[in-house]
Amino acid sequence: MDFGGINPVILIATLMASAVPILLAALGETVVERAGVLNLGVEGMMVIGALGGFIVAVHSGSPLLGFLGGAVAGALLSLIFAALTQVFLANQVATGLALTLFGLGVSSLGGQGYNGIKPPATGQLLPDALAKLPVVGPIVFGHDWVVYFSIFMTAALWWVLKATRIGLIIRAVGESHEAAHALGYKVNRIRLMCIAFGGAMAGIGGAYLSLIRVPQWVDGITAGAGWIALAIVVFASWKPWRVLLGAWLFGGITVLQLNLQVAGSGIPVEYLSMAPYLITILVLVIMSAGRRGKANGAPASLGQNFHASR
Amino acid sequence: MKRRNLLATAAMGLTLAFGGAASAQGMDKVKACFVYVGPIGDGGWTYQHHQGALAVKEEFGDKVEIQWQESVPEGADSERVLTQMALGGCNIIFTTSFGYMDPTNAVAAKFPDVKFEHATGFKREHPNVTTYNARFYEGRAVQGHIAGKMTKSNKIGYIGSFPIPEVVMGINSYYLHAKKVNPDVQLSVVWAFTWFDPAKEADAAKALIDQGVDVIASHTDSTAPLAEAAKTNGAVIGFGQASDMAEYKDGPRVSSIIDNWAP
Repeated sequence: MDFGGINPVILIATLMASAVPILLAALGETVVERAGVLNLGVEGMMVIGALGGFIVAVHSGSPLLGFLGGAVAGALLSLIFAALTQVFLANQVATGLALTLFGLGVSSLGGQGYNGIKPPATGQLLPDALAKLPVVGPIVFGHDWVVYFSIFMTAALWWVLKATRIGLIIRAVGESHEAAHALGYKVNRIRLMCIAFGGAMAGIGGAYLSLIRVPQWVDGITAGAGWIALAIVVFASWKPWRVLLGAWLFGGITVLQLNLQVAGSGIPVEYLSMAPYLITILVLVIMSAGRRGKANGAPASLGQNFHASR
Repeated sequence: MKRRNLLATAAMGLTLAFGGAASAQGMDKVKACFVYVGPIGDGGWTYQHHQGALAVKEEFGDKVEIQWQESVPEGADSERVLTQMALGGCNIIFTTSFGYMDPTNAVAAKFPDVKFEHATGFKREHPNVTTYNARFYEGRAVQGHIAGKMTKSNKIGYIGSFPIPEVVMGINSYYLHAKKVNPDVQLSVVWAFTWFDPAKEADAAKALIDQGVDVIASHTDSTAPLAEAAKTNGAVIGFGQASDMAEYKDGPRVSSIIDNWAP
């Protein structure tokens, strides 16, 4: 069952795992942006999460605590962003970019002395008997728990945003903060919580890199994954299931590209590398063409600060 | 196969170039600057270069001042960094990655009094630019020999960074010597098109392993391919690249090429 030397079952199983960091980070950012906040600091929060998770896991010996540590580290960093943009009303774009640079620098400083240490291993969640089944084994049963967590979070966020009161409030704040304020919702407080959630998700995504995917600490381990997560949110037009699709597409193309090379395929790498971005542009064009000027599902208050005095 | 093959590719470049620059211009103190493509903590190429820089400081003490900048992207950014270093009083600048070739030559044209040392390149357009390299291919030959002998699936892999002379040289040497001891050996090359991206390097190693490769050599700067090989519980072996990568010595790492740039 090979196509051109590539086993599709293994390919799918691999891409599911390799998409986890960008998927988690993009899901977090989706919530943040649905609440009307544009946080460009995803990369910084991911790398801090990668370091925080790594340090906690190494010292406690528990990968689970490590992921918790990653979430806390990411959330703490995002609170700096929250304080600056929600309390002091700083420009969100500039603050977000600064957060990325700050995160990369702090993680590099904090990571001194953690190079070359191996973190405790995380195994697959389900027993080997299930994972060894043909076809469904590697794809459905053969993963570590974070892969299942990422899919669960996609479903959970979809449901929360679509069908619950909390989701409605978050969307209201993101679509029209003045109306939400008039209804008595504490706009900045809700946004602050969303930002912290986004930071925690990015932190878990980063921790996945340093604890499972790579697994070790090296400076700048995220190497741009945060930016891809930001692109995926736009690609997905702020909808969780499409975020999942986008993350698997981006993750899948990377994996496919490497596998094609091993298989000795003649397709030049450059075409595959640019494919996800081309698809993103195409999707944006198609979606905005369909709705005549209405911007592709972006929350109306995205990137605007709110103060009750206005 | 626990024996450690230490392949110190000692490059005399730093000392020679450095001593020459100082004495030729009769300076009391030389400011030597280093531009790195990755972070110092990569555990590989940049780490070893920085060890070299620190060794220069150790060797020459007060006669030298060192300055460095990490994670400088190859391209327009590096030109800015180089210009800034030249303006900031650097007497000799080491550009430690192949991709700095054109920026190095462009900036060198503007600062004829500053010496430029470019690693692994082939362009020396101005009298103040020289290039230096090490005989990495000798180490690759030994690795190829090991790969040919150790492989059980007769499939060996190589994670290439960019198709440039220094890397192609390594791949050829690796393959030729593997072929010599094992005529059935097949080589798969994966180009990562990056020097440093641990996640992508791990993915590349995984792609190789998924397709039956059981010996992996890498030409990227981090230890991620070894970490990926370590997950197979001994089925796959690998090599340390540029640095010792000793933390994997009980697992997949059977030997290392160590770049020793110290004087």
